[in-house]
Amino acid sequence: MSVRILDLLRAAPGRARPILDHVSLDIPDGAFVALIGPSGAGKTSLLRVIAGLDAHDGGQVFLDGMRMDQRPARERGVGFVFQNYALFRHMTVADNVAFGLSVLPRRQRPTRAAIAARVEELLALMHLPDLGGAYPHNLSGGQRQRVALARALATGPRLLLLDEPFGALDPMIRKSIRTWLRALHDQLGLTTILVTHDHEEALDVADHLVLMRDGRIEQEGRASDLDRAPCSPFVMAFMGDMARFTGTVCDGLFQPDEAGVLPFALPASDGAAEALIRPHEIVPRAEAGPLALVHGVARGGLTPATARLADRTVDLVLPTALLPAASSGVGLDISAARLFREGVPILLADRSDH
Amino acid sequence: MKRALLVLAAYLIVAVMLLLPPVLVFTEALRHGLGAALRSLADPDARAALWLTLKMTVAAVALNSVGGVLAAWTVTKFRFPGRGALLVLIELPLSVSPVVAGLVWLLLFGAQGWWGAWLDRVGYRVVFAPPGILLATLFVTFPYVARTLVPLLQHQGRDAEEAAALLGASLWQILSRVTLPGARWALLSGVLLTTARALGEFGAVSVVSGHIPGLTETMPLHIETLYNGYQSVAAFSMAALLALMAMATVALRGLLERTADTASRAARTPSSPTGHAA
Repeated sequence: MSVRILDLLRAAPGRARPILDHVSLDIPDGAFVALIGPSGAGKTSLLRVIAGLDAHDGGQVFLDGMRMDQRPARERGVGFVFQNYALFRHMTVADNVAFGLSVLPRRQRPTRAAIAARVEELLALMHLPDLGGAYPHNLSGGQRQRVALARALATGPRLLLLDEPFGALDPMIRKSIRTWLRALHDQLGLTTILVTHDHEEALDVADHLVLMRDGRIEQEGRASDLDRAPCSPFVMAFMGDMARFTGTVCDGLFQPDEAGVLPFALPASDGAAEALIRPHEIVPRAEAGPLALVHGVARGGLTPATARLADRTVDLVLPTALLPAASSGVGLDISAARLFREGVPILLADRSDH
Repeated sequence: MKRALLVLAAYLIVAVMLLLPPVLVFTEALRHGLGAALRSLADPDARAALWLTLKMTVAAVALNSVGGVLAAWTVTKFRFPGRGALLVLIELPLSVSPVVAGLVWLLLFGAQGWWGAWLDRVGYRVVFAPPGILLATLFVTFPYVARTLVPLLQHQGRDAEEAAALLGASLWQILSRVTLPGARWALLSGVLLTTARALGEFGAVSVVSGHIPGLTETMPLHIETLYNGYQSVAAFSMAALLALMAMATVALRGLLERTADTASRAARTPSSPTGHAA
């Protein structure tokens, strides 16, 4: 089910800044999209407006090309999984899953046997057989989450909205549930929108990321797009660890302010600039500078290291195999950096050699 | 030592303040034996009082359960102007003296009241008749269902109801299949509190009833009439019966609360997190 959001506005009573500030977004049928961003960015609000749980003060929502934002939540046919699962505590797992079918008008409602069969089928799909008679409080977090998912899928929605679905799970389970969720999405041909504040999680499961900030979409695209060509230092910082170097562009050469950081050529106009770079993209060059390099403990083929600059240290991650022999007399090659001038990218770093 | 004294004092206070009155009521009622007590209850006026009390209680409990549920649901699930005022108003009957409440009904519906003349013309009696007694009882017992439900519904939050709405449930289906079943223990507890209070209401009812034996006397009013007429065995027999009814209600409530407690404790302790996707 394709989702089209046009100029969506949701005002916050008593606050100057809207919760959703003219958000527009196009999600094609079958996509797996992650809404990411810091808390308070408006991710959950956007999800709730799409579902019809929250009102909006302007703009439109189209599902499969049909305008839906004036219709109540119950008519939108959207599957929704809440952060805390919101299972009906007084109902068995089977009754929870069957709920969406049992509230259908009599003429559309399947027979009792058909509902029971559908519940069985869903519980099997969720790897929860034989749990139909249990109550939510008998289940573990991971099981509850899958019951919530089964309940949301029972009526056969083609759009699935997930609000921080992994938040309450322990880290061991998270990883496997992610993989499984992605497989389920592909198997059922769903369109899925997932809200998370964890970019790693988003990278892992979604094929399209939408990074929100202060009620607006800061940048959207594939994970690699956001990493290679962030549209602002904020996007760069949100997508992972980074180091920041200030400097000046002069005659097509970026000249860092700090000693020991190597200048590099770039086709940009003269003026001040800042270079942002991931720790693993910094390359220490032997006999190219005055810096000392302190190695940490190698793990998984990578070694963390720290370079001592004049008045701070910079963290690096190096392939253990490529560790420089010398631990002093090092210069830092940061030519893979993204450059910004007053918060605006001035050049997309060419990373084809990485 | 200090602790033992404290415990002893607590027991003493409970014995004197709470245990002694019902014990005395029962001893007084049975002073001339069980036969005399039962005979006094068989008196037509006594039976009428019992019936009236039961009818008023059932009606008040039914109406206030519906009203209380709607009021509690409205103030907890929706945000609207005047919501805070409504929350305070729900508790008003707890702070206003029942006699004042009775006087208000008298002012509205009494012969000299605002609508008294009109009611007289259409030939419908409110004051000094069962409708007035019902109104008085309704006012006094209104807060109990709403008050027991509000904190629970607030605690429940809106998630389950939103989930139900997204699954296609109508407002009525949400209320009857999600909200109320989730709050059933609080609802029952509120209903039983309402019952106990409705059975025993004296002040407000006394103002509007007119004390007509056999017609508008509820059990508490009849007890007063009997006692003032020096029919002490009959008075205490009826008092004992009323006390028994109220105690049964309260005991039932205690039992339910304990069941609900165990249920919610089970709900709070999740089993070990063994679930994971294959």
